[in-house]
Amino acid sequence: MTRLDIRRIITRYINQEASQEELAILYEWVKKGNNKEVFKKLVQADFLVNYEEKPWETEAAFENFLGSIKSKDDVKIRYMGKGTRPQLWKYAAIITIMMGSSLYFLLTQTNSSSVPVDMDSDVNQITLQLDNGEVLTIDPETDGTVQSRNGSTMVSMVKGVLTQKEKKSIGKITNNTIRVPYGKNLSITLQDGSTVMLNSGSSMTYPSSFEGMETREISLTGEAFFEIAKNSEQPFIVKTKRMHTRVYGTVFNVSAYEDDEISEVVLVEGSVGVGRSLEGADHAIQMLQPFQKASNSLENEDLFTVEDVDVSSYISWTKGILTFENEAMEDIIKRLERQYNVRIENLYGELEERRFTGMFDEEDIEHVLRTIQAHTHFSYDKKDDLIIIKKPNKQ
Amino acid sequence: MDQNSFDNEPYLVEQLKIGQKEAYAHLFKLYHKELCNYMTAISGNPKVSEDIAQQTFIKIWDNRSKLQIGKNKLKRYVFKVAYNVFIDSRRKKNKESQLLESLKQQAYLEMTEVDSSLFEERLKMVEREIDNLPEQCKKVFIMSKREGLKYREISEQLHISIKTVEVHMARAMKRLKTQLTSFL
Repeated sequence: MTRLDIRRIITRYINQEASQEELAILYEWVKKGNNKEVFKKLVQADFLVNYEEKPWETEAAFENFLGSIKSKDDVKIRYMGKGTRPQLWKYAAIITIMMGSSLYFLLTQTNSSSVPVDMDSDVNQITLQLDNGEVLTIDPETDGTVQSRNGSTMVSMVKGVLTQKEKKSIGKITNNTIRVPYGKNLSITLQDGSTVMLNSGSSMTYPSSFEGMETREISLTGEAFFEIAKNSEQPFIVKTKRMHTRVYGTVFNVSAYEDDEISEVVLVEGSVGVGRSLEGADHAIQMLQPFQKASNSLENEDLFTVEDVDVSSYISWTKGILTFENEAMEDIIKRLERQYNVRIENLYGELEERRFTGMFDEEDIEHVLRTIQAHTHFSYDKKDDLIIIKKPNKQ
Repeated sequence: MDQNSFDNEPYLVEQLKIGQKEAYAHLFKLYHKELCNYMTAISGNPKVSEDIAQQTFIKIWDNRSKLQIGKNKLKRYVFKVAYNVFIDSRRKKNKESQLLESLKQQAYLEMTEVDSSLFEERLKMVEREIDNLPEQCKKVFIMSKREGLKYREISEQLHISIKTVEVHMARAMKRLKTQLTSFL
């Protein structure tokens, strides 16, 4: 080991290009004699090279800070579903995926017969569309059992969880699509025992049974939190237009809204692989570590960026908590529309770029808007389900 | 000096402890910009650094009742919390990284304790030294450090081997270190 070699390794280390092997060499070297000091001096030299004075928005940051600590004080963590729903926090893997796609587009290679959407169904109701086109309306607040017209399918709602049973004698696997409108949530148990909690404005297409299939595949738009029953012989795959996620562990959260530009997967624990598509041999699959997020955007769907994140804000919705982490108003508006089933028109363009951090627990939309207003000035009018955001009134 | 002024550090710390919002405003005024600059130099990403700064202040707020800050150690405390936030976000857990990261933290914290005029002087000196590097060495160094290119990308653009890039980088770092040692 020459001095040049070690300097080269240190430089590589500082530039974050060192391999695991070089890291080990550096580790042995730095423990000897005065080398710690030499190492530190090089780090400091590098720091000075990198250091530059930039303008920073301290005041905006402070307002943001006030916003976060205020909403922290306000929020009392509410455990979800009055004790009737599973405690999702204890589960292992959680993923969030966002995307834009048409559901039917994804189903090309499963045995779906293209079914026309029943236009008569109320857009504000949760609906379950069966293979034969029949649409059942679901009310998560009321326990009960519904049978399809031809009698082949039984759908029961028990304590907010939907379960579906097919008559064995038919033996044919059918595809179903469940649609949850803005302002509603629904939990559903799949045939393999996996449970899925669907967030507002989401739909999922799934087979009535996974029996005899090589993989368990479902398609999603919107956002959902999954607890997947373990079955290593039959991997579970969540498909969205721009991202496929293969589950090696047990639980994850997928979010995939049509109007979001970014698709993302967040893993809490366990193991998942994410790729543009999982079919074919040479598709790159990105394995995720817990607490990592993989994302791609509309502009470059093949490029996945992996970063470390605080996962709690990505899954707080399962407890009925709305969390914004330094999120742009443009995106916050979309989320408020979904959560509260309102339409928000923003006439104050500059607002879109403003960022906000905060948490809300069961507050109504006006409370949320007023809280954001306290830190970011704007005014708004509310008429029924339409909210118009405008420039702040002159004081 | 007025004992009840935020310029009086023990008073400021007391007010931070009891959650006095103006004290936090003062803390932002004191350290926010510098912390952002500092974390950008370390993380290489202004967005990340703003985020870390924000999390740092929130962390201090959350732990306000337990704040234990030695005499004139507030700045060191703030920057230490920030570096820990940064490291936590990276989650490198093996022993090699832990030792090297803790040495890096010591090195960075030493930098925060330098008098600001001396710090300015050093920054200028670094600029001068970079300017005085041999031509090819300087080119490589600037591509890596200012333009953020990977060694492989530099080697492709300049049609030289990765090894040559490394030698140039190590040489530049050595010269900078030698020049700075008298100061650091």
